[in-house]
Amino acid sequence: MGRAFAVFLWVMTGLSVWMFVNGKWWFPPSISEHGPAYDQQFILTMVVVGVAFVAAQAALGYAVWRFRDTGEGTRAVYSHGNNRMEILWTGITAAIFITVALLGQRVWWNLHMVAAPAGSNQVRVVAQQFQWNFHYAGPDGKFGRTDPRKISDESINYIGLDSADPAAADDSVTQTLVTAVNRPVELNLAARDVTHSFWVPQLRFKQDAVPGLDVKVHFTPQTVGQYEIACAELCGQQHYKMRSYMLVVPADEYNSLVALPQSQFNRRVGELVRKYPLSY
Amino acid sequence: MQSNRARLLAALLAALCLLSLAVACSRSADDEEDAAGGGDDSAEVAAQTPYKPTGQEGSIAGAVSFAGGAPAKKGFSMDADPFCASANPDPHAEDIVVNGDKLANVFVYVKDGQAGGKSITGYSFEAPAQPAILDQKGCQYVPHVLGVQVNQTVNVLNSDETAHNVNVDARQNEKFNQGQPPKGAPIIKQFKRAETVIPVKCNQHPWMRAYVGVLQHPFFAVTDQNGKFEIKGVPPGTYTVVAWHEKYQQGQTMSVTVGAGAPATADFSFTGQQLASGSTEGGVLRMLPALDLPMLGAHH
Repeated sequence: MGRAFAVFLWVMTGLSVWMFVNGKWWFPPSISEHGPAYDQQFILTMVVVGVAFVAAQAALGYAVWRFRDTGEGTRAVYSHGNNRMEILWTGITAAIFITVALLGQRVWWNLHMVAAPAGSNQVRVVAQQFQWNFHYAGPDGKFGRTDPRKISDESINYIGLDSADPAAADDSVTQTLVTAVNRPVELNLAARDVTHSFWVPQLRFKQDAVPGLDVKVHFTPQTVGQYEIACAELCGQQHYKMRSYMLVVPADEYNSLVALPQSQFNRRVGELVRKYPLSY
Repeated sequence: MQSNRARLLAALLAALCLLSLAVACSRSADDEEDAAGGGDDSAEVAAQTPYKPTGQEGSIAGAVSFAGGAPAKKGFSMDADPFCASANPDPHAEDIVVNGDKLANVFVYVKDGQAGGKSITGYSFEAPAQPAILDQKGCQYVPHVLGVQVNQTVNVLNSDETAHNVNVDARQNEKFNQGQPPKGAPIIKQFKRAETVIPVKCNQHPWMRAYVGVLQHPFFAVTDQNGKFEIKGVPPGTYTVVAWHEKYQQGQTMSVTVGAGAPATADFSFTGQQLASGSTEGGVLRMLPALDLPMLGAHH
């Protein structure tokens, strides 16, 4: 029985490793400039953790095999352990984890803490239960003033855009994020009610939108297409329905879109949504 | 050691049992209070005289106009839900609907008044057997403003191939927030108390908003696309008539006298400024809680 259990452990370990290395279950292809760095970091972490996992499971199987009940009635012996060994493997584990974390910080830092390149496209993101709103500054490049007291869902003013501000006259708000291919875009994330999290799996990062905070993040999409935006933070009963789409379009299409007046903007976004099929 | 732990667990379990018992008791106390409240209502109803039509009833008709130039129709996108976007490709905001200079979706109702030497609220009126319909079609409510009578059956339909949730934010009546699957079975409800006006929303489609006015009598109407309304079967008397609009919830009032078998006219006019002020009930801005937990407010 002891032997069978040891073999079972080894087979399960092999199957688990195979699930990751066969390449069938993996992320959707990366479409962002930062994507490869994220993937590299992920693979490094997977390899480190994978080696430790296989070694630990193999050793567990060995112990189960070696110290199985052989029917000879051998009494179990109490072992207090070995302090030197404990210090050694705790030290090695800590060193590996800290190194991996520091490497990860470098990737994260590049995305969040390094300012977006000058001339990045600017989009303000206002999350609400259960919808994403994307605010474009319009041809004047200036975002109109917003005021929470002006928020009115039934009047289709989801972000509280103040029509008294002349800069707001050409602003557009849409539920589809439109970006230009190979052009850096900076998102300013805010939330109206609870914490939401902006996630496009193909961009590889998740970023919380927190009420009361203005959170910046930037990326450069590199593949034209349509991608799903999910909310990655449980935000209420209809969290599962908080879905939007991100379009990556050629620069000329982007330029002509953001030059459009408010009244034509959403119609054009709708046309673009139908033009570019969804990529998974 | 073992027995100590067992004793601790037993004590914890006992405390938990007591706590749940206490919660259950306080709940039933609430229920009893509710039941007592209901009893008071029925006593009130019993004191009312059932209204018997005399054949002398008149009507109140009129139009609601919008002064100061119609605002531009505000189009928007329903792209967040692909079904809505395909079913309703060119939707418009329904908060202010003006055709020419006439304002639609105004709830006009008799607030109080004297009929036959007696207050209109002193009469009881049987609820119509015909249910009122609130449909969800193309991810908008049809109608946008609905008037119903106390105890009248209201059928909330979902004609859409997408899920909605019907979140009824009542103050005097039972609040409820119920999910309805695509083309799901109707949600059948009755409002037990008069309440003007109950907002209804769908949390999955933030633009969706409807308003239900509940009155104890049948003397109400909603202005049509041409701003016109007609309240029929009004007993002769003098009444305070209110015109309520979602963007001007304190409403406008007018005193109207209905003669025997005669039609009376009540024309109202709202200004763009009034509606733009966006004042809500009592002129107080109602703040929503940061975390809307609809399931906590629901009693099933």
